[in-house]
Amino acid sequence: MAKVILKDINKVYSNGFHAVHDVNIDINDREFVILVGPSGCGKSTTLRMIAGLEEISSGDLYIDEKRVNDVHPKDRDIAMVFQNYALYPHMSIYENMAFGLKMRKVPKDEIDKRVKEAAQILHIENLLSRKPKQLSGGQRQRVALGRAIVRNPKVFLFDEPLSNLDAKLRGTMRVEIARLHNQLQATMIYVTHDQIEAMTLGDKVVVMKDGYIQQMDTPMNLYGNPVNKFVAGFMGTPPMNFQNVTIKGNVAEGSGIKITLTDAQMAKLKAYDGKQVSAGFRPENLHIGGESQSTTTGTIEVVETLGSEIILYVSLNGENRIVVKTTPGFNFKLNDKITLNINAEKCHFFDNEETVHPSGKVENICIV
Amino acid sequence: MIVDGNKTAKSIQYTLLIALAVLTLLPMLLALVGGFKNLAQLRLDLFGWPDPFLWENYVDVLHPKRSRFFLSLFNSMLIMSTTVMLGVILSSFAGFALSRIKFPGRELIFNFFLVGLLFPPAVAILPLYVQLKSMYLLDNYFGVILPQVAFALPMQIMLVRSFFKQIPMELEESATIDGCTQLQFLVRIVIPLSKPVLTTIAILAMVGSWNSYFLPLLILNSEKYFTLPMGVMSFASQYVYNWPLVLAYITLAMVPAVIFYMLAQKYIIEGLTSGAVKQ
Repeated sequence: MAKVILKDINKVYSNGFHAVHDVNIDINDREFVILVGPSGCGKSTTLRMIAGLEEISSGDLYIDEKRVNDVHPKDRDIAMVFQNYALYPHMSIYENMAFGLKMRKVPKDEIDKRVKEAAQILHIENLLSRKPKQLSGGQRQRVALGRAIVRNPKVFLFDEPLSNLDAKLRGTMRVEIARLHNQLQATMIYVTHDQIEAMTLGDKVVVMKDGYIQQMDTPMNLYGNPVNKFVAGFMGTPPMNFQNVTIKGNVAEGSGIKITLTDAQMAKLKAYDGKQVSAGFRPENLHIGGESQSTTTGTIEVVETLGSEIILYVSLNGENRIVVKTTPGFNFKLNDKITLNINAEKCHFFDNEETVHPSGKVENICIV
Repeated sequence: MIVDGNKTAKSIQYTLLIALAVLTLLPMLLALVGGFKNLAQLRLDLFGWPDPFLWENYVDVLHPKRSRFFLSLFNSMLIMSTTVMLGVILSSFAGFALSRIKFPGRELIFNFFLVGLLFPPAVAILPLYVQLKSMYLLDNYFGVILPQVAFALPMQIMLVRSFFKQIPMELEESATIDGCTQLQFLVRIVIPLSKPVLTTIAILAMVGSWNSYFLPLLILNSEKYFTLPMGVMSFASQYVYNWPLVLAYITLAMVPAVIFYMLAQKYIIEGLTSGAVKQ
């Protein structure tokens, strides 16, 4: 079990492309950390640098308090699970799982014991004599997990392990991985572009974009207190609604929306009086009907019935659209006019002007 | 209409293929059957069934006192197996370096190998002879083996490289984390996965070496080094009036090559097409 520390890690490719900027992450022992972001954000590169598959251009990487920048991947005591499983096609499942141990010259009976234990944990005991070709995608991914487990490494690295599976299997495997983390109590670093995986699995989530860390926090804090517009929009399904509003005293108004600010919000938005900012509110913070001080009206354009909840796509004035998440119990029809109350306390306001940091990171910061 | 068109195409296809098969098989069959005839029957009735049916020709060919068949067979086998082994080992290493290791000038080196494809051995024969002479390799097994390996390498490297290129990067990364060096990755993962292409180049090299006549004729002078094709020629000139005996010798000389081909034809087709078509 081990701590992993990334200190001012940079990756610059030989063609000059700066893929990862000054990444600092402290990963505690037994912590499950998720690196999440859109494709090309540098999350996989960061993971591959931890694995030793990519060279670190500058900065320091510590695993278990030892600087490992120049340590060969095989000596870093890590195990990695790949998106396409990367099982050796000519070996049986047993041989696949045993290979890493065999290369490390672990005694045969010890290998046998560990492989059988891992197979039991993953319920793949009956597959050990088969070849990877004969397994389904989900079974292959279990084997890939098993190959990592038998090594009993300090750190587990996952590179989008569930992306090749269908939606249902992805859900099952997600639970499986969470269970595995509980059982093994190991340090895990997990890369994904799926924010649901990030929210459900992570103790700590690192949101990345354009090679910069945007925010690093617990899932609930990321969801409740995003530091900028990107993080606010990235976390959550359906995503947060953004509308341009102008601050006028204790009211934010525009795009057919009126929000009455709380005192705390007003204090922080003082400098923006008379200016346009972006108001962000989550689909579940909109409620249908009734009178309140923060409202908007619109026409229902699309109704998505999901059973436990209903998603409404509402047009405010033909141009601006917002998404509403509500519970069943009301018969929504297309083109119905509805009044929506906005939970002002849960509203965020984002600077419409981009802030350019000295490091080169650009963001629309969250004012409140 | 479409069905009819398909039928016509099919029948043309079959006619052509049958014609080709007959063209290939008929001479072999004539040699095989001819070996069981006596000279008189061979002259009078080329296509007929042997009557009387004689085993003597085959027995004579295999008789150590009457022919050097087994010595030539041994020479051919030795030259062939060494050629194949060297070719497979060298092309695996070169193919690995040229497909999976990045270094400056890689493409240039590969193209340099490819130029070898444009080079018919006959053109190089004089400088080759001079070179081998200066290396004291005339009348020596290696005088045949080394040039054979060299002339086969461009094609082998091309096939092996395109096959190796298709092996996913993740496998190499996974093997690296599992603790493999590049050499171990090549030996433990890449080569076992590349059986189809390695079998293909091995078979092509086998057949090429087995049938090679010009190069051994030029390099090998002592009869003790003669390969089977040279044995055929020398036997034929020795027994120029006994054609059934010569046919028996030819038939026996063909047998090993035919056996290799039959055993490995599945792999040959697999290996030749796998490099060309993306999966």
